[in-house]
Amino acid sequence: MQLKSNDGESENCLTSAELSALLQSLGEHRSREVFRQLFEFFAPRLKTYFLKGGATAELSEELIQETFVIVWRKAEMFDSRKASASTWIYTIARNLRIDRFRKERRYLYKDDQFFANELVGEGSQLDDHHQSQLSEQVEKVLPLLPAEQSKIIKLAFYEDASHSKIAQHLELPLGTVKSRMRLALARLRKLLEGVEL
Amino acid sequence: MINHHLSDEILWAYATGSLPAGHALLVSCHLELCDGCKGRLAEAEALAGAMLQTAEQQKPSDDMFDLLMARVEGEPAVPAAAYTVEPRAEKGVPSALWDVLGYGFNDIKWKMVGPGIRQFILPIKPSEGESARLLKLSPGFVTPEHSHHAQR
Repeated sequence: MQLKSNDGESENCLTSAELSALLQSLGEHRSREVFRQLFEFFAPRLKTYFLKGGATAELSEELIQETFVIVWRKAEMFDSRKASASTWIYTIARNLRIDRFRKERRYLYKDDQFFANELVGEGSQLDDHHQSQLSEQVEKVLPLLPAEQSKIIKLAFYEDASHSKIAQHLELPLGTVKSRMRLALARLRKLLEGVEL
Repeated sequence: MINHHLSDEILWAYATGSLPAGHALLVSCHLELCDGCKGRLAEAEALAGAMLQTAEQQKPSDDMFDLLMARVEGEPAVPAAAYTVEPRAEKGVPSALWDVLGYGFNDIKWKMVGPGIRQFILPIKPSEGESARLLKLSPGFVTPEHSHHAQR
């Protein structure tokens, strides 16, 4: 099922800047073509995200649709100075996943709070330049982490595994999981500071 | 009064939605009061966004985009003004906590658990193996603290 860039046309690569421009344009003009481009970029990635999170193929597709319904409805609120398109869409997908699978946490991850607070607040320490290149940098830098560290980062991301779940899964003491995750994130930050594109 | 900040691994867990419910409530309350940690959360979410952007791809069904279009076409745009957070019901009560309690600190029915210590078990559904409570330490000021016993 994996999509490979074997036929040239399905390479499906857009830069962060291009994605943000598309999302901004969707908010302004609601063009079907722009929506399709965003869909074609993100839907296959979201599918991996939802599938690895334990959703069935059917539910994954339903969640992808719901993500894009919200993207369509709220694109007007997107502000590329506050978040990248990927971060914005990630947040929507994450909230939907919590809403579906982690009901006891759903009231903490509400979209309206995200759209009103987070994107309007000026609290972010990320400058525009850093933000617009982050995905490209992360792609370069993530493989440089030791496997045992990137695995822990990814288990939280894909499977929303808590620290203690990860500890059980990897048969490690809880303290080791926490310190390994802390090390991984510190290392990542350092690598991201050093990387030039 | 805050002399304690969120660690990177806690922020990553919160950003990915993997923190147990009671702990997540505590983090949410802290974030509301601490701009520094809020900025670091934005960094963690940006990292998560970057991971989504660089995730492996698996092909969705061919007709999915058409189904989606059929669903959204003709929907009116939602005006930006529709998304404002309601004003906080009581000063000093983080809104996530207000959502749980439905009232402010003054109306909490504390139970004495020891000399100078009162507690209130929060009416939330905790994640497995977890319980969340507020502690009130006398004398003088109210220090809301949640204890969260990690599963061992």
